[in-house]
Amino acid sequence: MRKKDIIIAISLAIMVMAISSALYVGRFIVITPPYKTRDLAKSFLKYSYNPWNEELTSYALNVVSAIIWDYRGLDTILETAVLYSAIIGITTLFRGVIEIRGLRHRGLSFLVKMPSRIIIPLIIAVGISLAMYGHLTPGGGFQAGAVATVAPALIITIFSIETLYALKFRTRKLFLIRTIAFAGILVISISLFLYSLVFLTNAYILQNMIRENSNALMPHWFVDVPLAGSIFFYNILEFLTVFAGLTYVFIIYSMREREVESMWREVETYE
Amino acid sequence: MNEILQAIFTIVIAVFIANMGIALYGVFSRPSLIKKTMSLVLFTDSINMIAISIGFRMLEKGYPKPPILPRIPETPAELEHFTQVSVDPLLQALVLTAIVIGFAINMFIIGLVKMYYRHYGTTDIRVSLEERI
Repeated sequence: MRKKDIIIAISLAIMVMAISSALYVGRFIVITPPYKTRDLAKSFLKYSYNPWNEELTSYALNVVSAIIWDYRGLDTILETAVLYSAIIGITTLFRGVIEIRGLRHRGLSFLVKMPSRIIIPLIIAVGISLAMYGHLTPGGGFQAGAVATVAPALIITIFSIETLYALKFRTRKLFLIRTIAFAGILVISISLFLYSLVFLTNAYILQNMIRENSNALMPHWFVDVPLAGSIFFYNILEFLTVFAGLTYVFIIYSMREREVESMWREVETYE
Repeated sequence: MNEILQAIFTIVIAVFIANMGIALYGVFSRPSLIKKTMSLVLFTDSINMIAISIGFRMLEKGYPKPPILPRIPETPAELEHFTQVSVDPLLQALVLTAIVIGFAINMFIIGLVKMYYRHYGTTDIRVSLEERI
């Protein structure tokens, strides 16, 4: 066993040295980042918010959001589908878990509980603002959901999972929210296409702004703030998807033994 | 100033490559499944950070800007200046996709580890190997 460990360590050290030397070859010990960006990156930077070229712009100030939801939108929808199927896999693994209310719980001390009562609403507010302004400032749907999920995780560790149940967070409801939000993303992706079928114009699936041969467009200006069309709606729905999905996983992973016992009974009858 | 930036960039890349090696050591040679999973997360994150740093750039003077327009551009020249100073946004978008998918896979792996623990009473991978023989 020890000989195997030594061999693994030495071969990994050789791998690290090989990658480093491959990077350093011909660059005089220090690696210099390039002074120019690639042409592809330049075109994304140029057309992300470009009112002088309406056929290629998406009216989003945040270029990363524009790439994720507009220029490479299909990637992101499939990525959300991967996250969705991972959660379905977890549901299948933990089938038969029931939620029991009223088990004994204490939580951490008063000194921890009192500040977290103030912090937890703030975390959720930051998450919502990241989702709402995802097309204008750094942020976006997934990041916002990941930030906001810290709040249920803190509630589970500091208070108890009972507190989360008392706040009406149930696994069934969260799964429903998740599914509805994911369906909403799909509906928005084909909404302009459906619009074009009704009004007999041309439109593409996943279309956001005016494109070649098509004049249909999503709303891109709300009073005096750029709305970036479908990017705004996608961000909100992705926030709901990620928040509900991750909270669901947190609740399932922090089940107590009494709740999990029923799972084994279910599995035995199933087999 | 650019020399300092180059030195920091080189150190950061070297640290990420060393991190990859350490993480792979954890995946191969630690017996605990929890530690294997943690090493796997560390490995993915090091690779993602290297991928982001490929998109980094340098300017003749000053620091590069993040790929977000600070305000609504009023003239095409302002937009042109933004493309000259901003870093590559495409790699950041691709790494975001990679993070989400890695996250989904890690969640599922942790579920499997929990089931393993309930079945064998430990997360040691050698227990299941001995039982098979």
